[in-house]
Amino acid sequence: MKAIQITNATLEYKTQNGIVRALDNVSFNVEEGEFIALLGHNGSGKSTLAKILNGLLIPRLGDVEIFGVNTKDTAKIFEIRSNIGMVFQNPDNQMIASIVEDDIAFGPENLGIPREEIIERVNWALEKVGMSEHKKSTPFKMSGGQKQRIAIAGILAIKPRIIVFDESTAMLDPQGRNEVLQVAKQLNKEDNITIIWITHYMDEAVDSDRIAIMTDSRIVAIDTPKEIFKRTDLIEQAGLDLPLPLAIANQLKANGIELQDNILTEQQLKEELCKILK
Amino acid sequence: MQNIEIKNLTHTYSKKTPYEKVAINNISVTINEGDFLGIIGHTGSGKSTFIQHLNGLIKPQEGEVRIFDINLTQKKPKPDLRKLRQEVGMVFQYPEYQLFADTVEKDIAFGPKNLKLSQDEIKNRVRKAMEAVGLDYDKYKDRSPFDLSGGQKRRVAIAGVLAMMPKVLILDEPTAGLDPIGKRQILNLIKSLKESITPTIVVISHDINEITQYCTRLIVFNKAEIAFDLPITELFTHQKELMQMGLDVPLAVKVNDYLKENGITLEGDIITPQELVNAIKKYKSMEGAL
Repeated sequence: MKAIQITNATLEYKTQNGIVRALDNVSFNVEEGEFIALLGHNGSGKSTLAKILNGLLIPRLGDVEIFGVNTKDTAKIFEIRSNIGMVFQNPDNQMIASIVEDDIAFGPENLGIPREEIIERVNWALEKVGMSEHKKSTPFKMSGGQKQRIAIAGILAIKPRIIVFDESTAMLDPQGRNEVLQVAKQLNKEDNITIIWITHYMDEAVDSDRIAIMTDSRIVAIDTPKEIFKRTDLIEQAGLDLPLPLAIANQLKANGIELQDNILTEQQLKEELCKILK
Repeated sequence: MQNIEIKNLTHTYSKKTPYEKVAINNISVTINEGDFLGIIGHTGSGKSTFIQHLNGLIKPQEGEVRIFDINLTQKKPKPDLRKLRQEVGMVFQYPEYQLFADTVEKDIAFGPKNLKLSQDEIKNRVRKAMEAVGLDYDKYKDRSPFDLSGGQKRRVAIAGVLAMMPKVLILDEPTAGLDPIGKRQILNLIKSLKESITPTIVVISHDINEITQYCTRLIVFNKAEIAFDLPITELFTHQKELMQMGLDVPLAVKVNDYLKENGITLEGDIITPQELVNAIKKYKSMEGAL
């Protein structure tokens, strides 16, 4: 079954300057267990796309189905929301309790889950994000990366099958960014959780199963990282960058140095250069 | 010429409470006119506490801070903070959150107005500041800053600081949260400001690949102390120590080191992608000559 099925979704916002179309006939399918990176310039519609997934917004035209349940079906909105969790940009806006374990218990408490199971879920979720020893601490003095991991644990406690990360690493330092990305990758691999990873950092997208690119409220390309980053004209038009290793490889090629295609990571660049220079 | 001189500065938050924390510990720094200085360090290493001393937001507890001819350590007469804040412009993280006026022009004019300048001079300064950040005066002056894109908002906020005509400009994570286009615009802006408007610039950044593209000197904060204060060409010989501090080194440095370990020695200082490409080109052409 498809985890996410969006069919011809169109949505407008009313602003002071009139009506702005945020999604323009967007269709997009995601299989269960996929790791999808969603890239696009500011205002391209990424966050709006994220918000139609769990029924925070309902498209004016078209349909969104999460594991076969339509977000327009108001009777089933809670089923959808327990299947799909969201982690936002600013960790400070996502904390509600002053003790870590209380914060994580908030979700399952609201679902009316028995106490014993809540305790089990909290422990499990904290272990998953590597924050077990901070169970009784207060989140307010933690680093950004730690706070984001607490936010993820809070979502895991609801046992969703999909998690959407909406620029969840934008406010973090490199170490925090890496912590959060690794947790997402691990949840994807070990627990088969479907991940939608929205970012402005190209290097965070190179390991994903597929990359979707949004420009001007439309999805203009969906493909594997290898194929996407081959299309330099598309990347430029979409206002994006190439991953730095690939940008260096392309510059070398432009200088007449022969390199293999598809260099996306630091390791690939190192090994390829070693090969051609030896 | 020395613009800023800091000697043995220590700052402790929440003194004499259980939350007491030494944020910077006995640091000494000199910033000279013309410096293009980058500051890196882990979150919580003391970077922000340090720069808040540079325009008097934090008063020195222990140690000396002198900025131009203003001595912040002296008690009487009180140091002239108004003058200090004109001379040292500070662009905070996410400065667009501080926009407040209903037009771009009013927002940028707020600082100069408080200096009690003439109407003509204020208008002149707003126009110049907008030109400096690449926003056309006539096109944008009457727009609401809140209707602009993220990158444009940030440029309006920076223009508001430039309109004070500071001699030193400090930017805290100037590209954080922007998309690639916005990032590129801000980076080019900082470079052009350095060339034509503000002679001395200090930038805090977490992005080592970015900061090494323009700064010429880097200060590394680690656990409330200055671990390194070196020209950029010398800093990355300390790669191991930097990595132990949890800091990244530029991709070109990592690639160059890997090649060296594998018996391939490239020539010259290699820190930026361009330098790496040039060095490989040279290596290849020499190989061809052999």
